[in-house]
Amino acid sequence: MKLFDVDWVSVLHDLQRWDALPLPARRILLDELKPSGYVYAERLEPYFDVIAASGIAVRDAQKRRLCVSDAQRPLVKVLRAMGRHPLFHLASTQDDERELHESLIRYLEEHFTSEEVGRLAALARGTGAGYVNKHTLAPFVAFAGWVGDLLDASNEAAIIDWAENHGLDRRSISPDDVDELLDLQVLVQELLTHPGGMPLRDLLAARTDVVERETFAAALHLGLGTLVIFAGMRAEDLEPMIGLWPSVVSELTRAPTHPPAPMEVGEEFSLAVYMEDMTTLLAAIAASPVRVRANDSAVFARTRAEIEKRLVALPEWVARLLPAERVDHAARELLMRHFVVLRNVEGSPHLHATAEGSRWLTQSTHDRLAALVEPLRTSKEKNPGNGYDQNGSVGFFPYTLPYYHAPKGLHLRADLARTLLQAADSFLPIAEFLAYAARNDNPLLTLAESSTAEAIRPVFYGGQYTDARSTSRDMWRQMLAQFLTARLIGLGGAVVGVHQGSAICFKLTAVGRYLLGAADSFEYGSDAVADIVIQPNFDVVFLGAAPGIEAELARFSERVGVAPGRVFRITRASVLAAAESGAAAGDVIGALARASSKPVPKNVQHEIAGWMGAVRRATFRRVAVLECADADVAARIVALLGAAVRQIAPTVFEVSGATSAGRLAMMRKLRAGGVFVDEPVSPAVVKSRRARDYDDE
Amino acid sequence: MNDNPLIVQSDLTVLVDVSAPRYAEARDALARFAELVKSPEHIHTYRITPLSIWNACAAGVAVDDIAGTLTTYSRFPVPASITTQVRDFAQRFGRVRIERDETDSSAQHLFLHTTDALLAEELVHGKQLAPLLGDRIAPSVFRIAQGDRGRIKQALIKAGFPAEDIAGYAAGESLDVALRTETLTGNDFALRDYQVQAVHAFHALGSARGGSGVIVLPCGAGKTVVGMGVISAVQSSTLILTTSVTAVRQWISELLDKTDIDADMIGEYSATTKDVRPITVATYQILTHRASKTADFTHLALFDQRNWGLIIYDEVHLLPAPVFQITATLQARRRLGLTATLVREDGREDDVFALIGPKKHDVPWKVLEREGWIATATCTEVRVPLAETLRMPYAVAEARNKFRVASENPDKTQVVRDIIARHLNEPALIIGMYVDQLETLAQEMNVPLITGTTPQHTRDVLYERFRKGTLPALVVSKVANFAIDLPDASLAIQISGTFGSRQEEAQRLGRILRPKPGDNQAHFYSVVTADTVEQDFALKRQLFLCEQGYEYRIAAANEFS
Repeated sequence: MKLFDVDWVSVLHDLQRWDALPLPARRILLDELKPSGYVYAERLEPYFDVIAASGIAVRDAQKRRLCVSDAQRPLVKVLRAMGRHPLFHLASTQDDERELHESLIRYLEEHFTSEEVGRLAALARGTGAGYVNKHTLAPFVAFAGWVGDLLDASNEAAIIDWAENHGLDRRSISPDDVDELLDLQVLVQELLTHPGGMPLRDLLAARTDVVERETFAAALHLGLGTLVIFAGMRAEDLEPMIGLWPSVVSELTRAPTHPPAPMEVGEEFSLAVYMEDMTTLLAAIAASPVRVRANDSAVFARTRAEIEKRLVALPEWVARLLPAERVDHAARELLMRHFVVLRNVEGSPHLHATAEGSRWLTQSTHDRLAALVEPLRTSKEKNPGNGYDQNGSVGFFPYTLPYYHAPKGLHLRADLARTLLQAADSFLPIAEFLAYAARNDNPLLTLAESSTAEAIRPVFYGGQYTDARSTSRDMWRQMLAQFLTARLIGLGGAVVGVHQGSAICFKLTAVGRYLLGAADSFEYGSDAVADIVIQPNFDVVFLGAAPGIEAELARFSERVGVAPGRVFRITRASVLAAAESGAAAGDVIGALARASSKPVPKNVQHEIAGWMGAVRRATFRRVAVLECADADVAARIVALLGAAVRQIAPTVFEVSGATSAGRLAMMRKLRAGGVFVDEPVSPAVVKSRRARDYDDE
Repeated sequence: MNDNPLIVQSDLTVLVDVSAPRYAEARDALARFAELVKSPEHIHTYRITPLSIWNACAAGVAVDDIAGTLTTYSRFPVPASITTQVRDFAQRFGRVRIERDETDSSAQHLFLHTTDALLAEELVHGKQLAPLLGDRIAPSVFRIAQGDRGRIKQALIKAGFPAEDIAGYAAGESLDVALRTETLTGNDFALRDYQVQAVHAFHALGSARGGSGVIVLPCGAGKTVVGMGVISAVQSSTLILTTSVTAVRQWISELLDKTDIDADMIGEYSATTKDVRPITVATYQILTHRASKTADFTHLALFDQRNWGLIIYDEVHLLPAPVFQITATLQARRRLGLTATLVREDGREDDVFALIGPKKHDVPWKVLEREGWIATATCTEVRVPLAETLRMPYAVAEARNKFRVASENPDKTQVVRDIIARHLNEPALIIGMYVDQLETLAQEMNVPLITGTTPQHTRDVLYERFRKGTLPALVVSKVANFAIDLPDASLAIQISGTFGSRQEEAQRLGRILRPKPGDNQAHFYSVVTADTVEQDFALKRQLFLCEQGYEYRIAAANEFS
């Protein structure tokens, strides 16, 4: 630990000094006063005297400056570190996993050295080796099992096991250490009842005895160091707080006993977002290969921003369910499905459309989706493998399971389908659905509690660990959540909706039922009647939300707004871009006609047909050019090389298709005939001179 | 979601679904506080701006009424930011008032009242405004000079606090004038309902609440007649400013035809004639003429040559900058702006608001079209291929010349003949930009040509023959763009234009919008050379016309042969 590796006994003792300060003085102290160095009075006014009186800082001889006293340095250090992490407000927004994750990464960065992160992550993964960093560690820390196993440790041996799995050396654990661990267990129990964290002062107030306080300080230090306890500052009153990680609390305290009840939703959203994003990106790639970064194959920011403008705008609550970097996600999906390949152009990697990708692009919406869904459905996987099925295609499961050994006796695909098909006909709240399934409808849990528990021991808890129940809950919950996002919501297999403005619910669509094997076919892109109008001035107005159509029209029109309202404008440039990616006038006009609730204006049809009708293709080809001084030399070249060159001007010949060796042979032939060929001034230009001119020089 | 017609967007634009059941009532309510931006076939776009809200406030529309309209007719919940912004705009109107000194009718000063002392303090610290404010005679009241009235209103607009000017007007020289019930040419005459409403909205029974503002009516809806209605309501000497000599003569002709005023009471003030009478009609050009770039605008003195009781600014969206300046000093006179659009190319709509006045009346052209007060127009773009012999000159021409080569495509002549043949007995205007092209065409078709160099007398004669129907077609250059009145033209064929100019397109189309006997149908053709830059520019005009709500058809030349 960096900043929290202090004498907590003294920090807790001096915390009363902080408690005595009014809020503005706290704020100014955090902003201005550093653990070392002086601050002039005017920067602390009007709280200069108040801060000095608290004893946290002392005046200099002239009484014009303050500096933190040596004794209070740990307190100020800790307070400033907590002030940078208003963590516990996240408890109320725990559905926003992205924000939670980013906060955790920032916390790890600030408080743990890379060695510490590596040690904890290695222990978490149970591998003890390999490249680990804060990103590797964060998911484990956010797992309920990280803390839950401490709570489940019912005897000294179990608690020592837990300590060993959290970075402590078993051989050096003394009886005092065991007491600290037991105190930590009690503290964690206490914090479990406060999802938004507890003020340190409240915890301290309950421990009046000196010994109790010392034990508390030790337990706190241990909890912070093992990432079981987190410290932060409550933003509104700058109150130092400690607590468990929000997602851990919610998982450990959520114990639904009944399956979630169907809910009515207001706003609904259904779209194969991944397919539409892939289509948009592939259309751009087909028009012009997209350069990507060499290190991680991500699309460069400017290009990404341009492509993002063309993506379907998602309601904020839907966007939170899906990957933030939609373009990069689409690029990965395209690569995995071999719709694009990475190829170097002038030394830089570019994404190029493959013939397969180009074909996919010209298919109907239904067929494009079918091309994505079909390989998943027909995949033979019963359980998660390595992300690909036996044929090397993208697998049914969007993830792998961190097992030492392949689990035996499991058919997770069937279990997953059975669980998800509960939402075949009605909307179920996602969070409750996952929580219930994790605890009450969990094949991993069943197995973990059976005699064959050893068979599914997860990698990340190491070979020594014995209780896999909380881990199994986390894993099944995450498996369902990931499948729901990556295979259902992203591919139009589930429609999502919002119940009373907060709870996000889902219901399977025909696509989802098909993917899960509960239907023999599906309909998609049949273009339900939408209130969309194509105006004679080339505006496309959405009188209601229709994301599917929005995605389709985005391929040949420029986005000018977000639905509902004026969403697109059809322009010559946008139509030509569609033509370049293989669309024909009939496709564009047909799509408009299907989308529009009113006839497509004739002038719009006429212009689109005209623009696309005027499209012609040309090809750049690299050739070598042989230039000579006059017609006389030209005639000699023809005589010497014959059909090997093509005269494209009186004194210019195209040498196409010849290899370097072939060109050298031609040069020798010309030389023998008295026509000397200069070294090329550029790779594509070869100049020749008369032999006698050369002799004259 | 319901079937209400409005979609209120957070960028202050409002989309209106014209096929929604309550469209008409929603449009009428919306038009009071939002400006129509475009009106293509199905969905119209309005924009709410500070000015549009202030115009509404000036017309007595309450902010709750505005918010209520948006909520009542909106298909989706109105974004909270819109209601807040509308309230913010509205609460700024009326916080500053300009009033006369009621205790001294001969006073050369006015009072500027603010609703509170803090606002007064803010104004005192405004860079532009502070020098114009006189003594602070109370915490929220300033004395201001009469002559600064306009400049103060301009500065207040810029500061975001439009003034409510109720200081009233000078009466001006009295003038007896009434509208005829039968025109000199023997036709029955009366103001149409919407014209009467426009006159009343402006005049406000002569109170200080009226007397300055803008009437917005589409081309062909009789703005000149509304102007005459206002003159007869004000009963005072009037200076009319318009865009060309032809327009001057047209005003004079209309005044004589439809009012009982004698010819010797009307004067023309133009480059050729400087006749100042109780009703004087002048061009903007003469007013802004000066000997050199640094010389004074000598003709601006016309504003002081008589005690004008009313100044009419025709085509107010074209009002030139020097006239704005002089208008700033004429705030004690009644001022009427007439226009088809409040949108100015130079963005000085706020100056129109400050110096001429708020919008007083506005009638959507679709309403007038439906009621038969203006003709229904169909627009057709006819694409003519470029002859093989011209393709190479076109290909190698520089960008600007490309447009000319395409515009002057000689094959257009035959298309013009074909169009005219299709519309036999319909008076036709053939409009173009390049005089050489027009001369050739006029010669080949044996049709008279009017250009900028055509003497006024010749123009008048030709216009008269055209009106009487003895001349079936006229070829005209850009001179026809503004304010000429050819009541019987129902067919316009433009063979070349100023690149993609929207204003030119509107003006040219306006030439044929006056009501027609029979099916009240007008035809507007643009003949363009296919697959050239001319077609690209035509696309801009196409968008504009579609956004105005006209039906737009694209045809190939051979469809007419």
